[in-house]
Amino acid sequence: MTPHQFTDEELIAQFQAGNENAYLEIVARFKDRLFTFVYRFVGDRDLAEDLVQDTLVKVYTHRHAYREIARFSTWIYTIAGNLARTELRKRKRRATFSMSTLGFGEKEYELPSEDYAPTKALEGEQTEKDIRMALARLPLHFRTVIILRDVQELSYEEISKIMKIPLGTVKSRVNRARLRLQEMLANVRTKGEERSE
Amino acid sequence: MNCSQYRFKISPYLDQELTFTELKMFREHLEGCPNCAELTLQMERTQVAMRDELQASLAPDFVPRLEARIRAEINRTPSWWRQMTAPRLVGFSPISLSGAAAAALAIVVIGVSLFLPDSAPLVDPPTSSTQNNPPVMMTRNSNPASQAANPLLTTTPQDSTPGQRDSVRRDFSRQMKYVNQGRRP
Repeated sequence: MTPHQFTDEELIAQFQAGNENAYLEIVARFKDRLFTFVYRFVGDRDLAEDLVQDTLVKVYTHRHAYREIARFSTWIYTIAGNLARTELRKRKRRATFSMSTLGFGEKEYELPSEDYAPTKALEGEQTEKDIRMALARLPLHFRTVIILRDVQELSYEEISKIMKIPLGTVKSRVNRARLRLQEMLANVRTKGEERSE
Repeated sequence: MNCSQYRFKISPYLDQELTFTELKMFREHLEGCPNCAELTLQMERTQVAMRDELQASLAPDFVPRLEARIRAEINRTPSWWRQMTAPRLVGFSPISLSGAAAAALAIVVIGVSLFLPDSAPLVDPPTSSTQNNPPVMMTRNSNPASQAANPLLTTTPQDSTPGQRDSVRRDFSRQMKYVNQGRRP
């Protein structure tokens, strides 16, 4: 049986029993998914990479803390989410202290250029950029649920466990987050079209 | 239902969570409302774009860097702590087993002390100030009235002054003398 035939829960059980190869398989399975989640959450590539590393180190050092009462993915996303939230809080405090007017993550976004005229090839890139901009401006509780649901494609039940909020709250937050995101995207697109004219 | 109420049905529609009746009503509304139809289409596109275009991947040297970090973490952890927290016996680490043993011992001690009969000492333990004094006899089941009548039984070394204790000692010696001579005090 090759490692990729095992479920996540079987892999962590093997790792808990001392099989280091199982850990490497876990890393291979989750690193990009975690990176996508954390990167879209914090909006900074380097910071996201550090946080994913922290998450995977925690999985290594605290492997015996996992009990098979929840799915392994729920556990690992919870660790990553908590680390990301803590980091965002720290950054927010620092930003407040330095009286900076720039919001977190804003530095990497650029306003659409004056000669913005999307060709077909650039369209996808622009859409991604628009969504990133809009996501970064969503309140944290909306951003988290929409990333977990629409980018990571997790079930509502899993999101409920990761965020430790009731299922109904998850559904209503996703609903409102999608509507809010759509409003923001519509504003971004309208501004872009105005500039291109 | 008006448009603002239908807007809240778009998300469950995208997640295919509408009931048959809700879905029928929703579709009928979209047919007659171009604004809601356009919003639904846009939200559907955004959802697809988020799934397809927001995926990110790490730099290729991520795994070697992670391995180096883990090695550093392992070297930083004291070996005694690793031994204590490593799983050994039926999946439990020595530290958790010793904690469980201590808790069990505490429960046994508390349980035994609760179920034992009243174990008040028959003789008061000597204190530093009364070590030279003869012990005052205290009977557990004796009559309190008779104890009150007998100053030897009611006087305890803790609640008497040195002068009183000397007087008690003298009385006690005198009584013992009468007893030894076969006379009543």
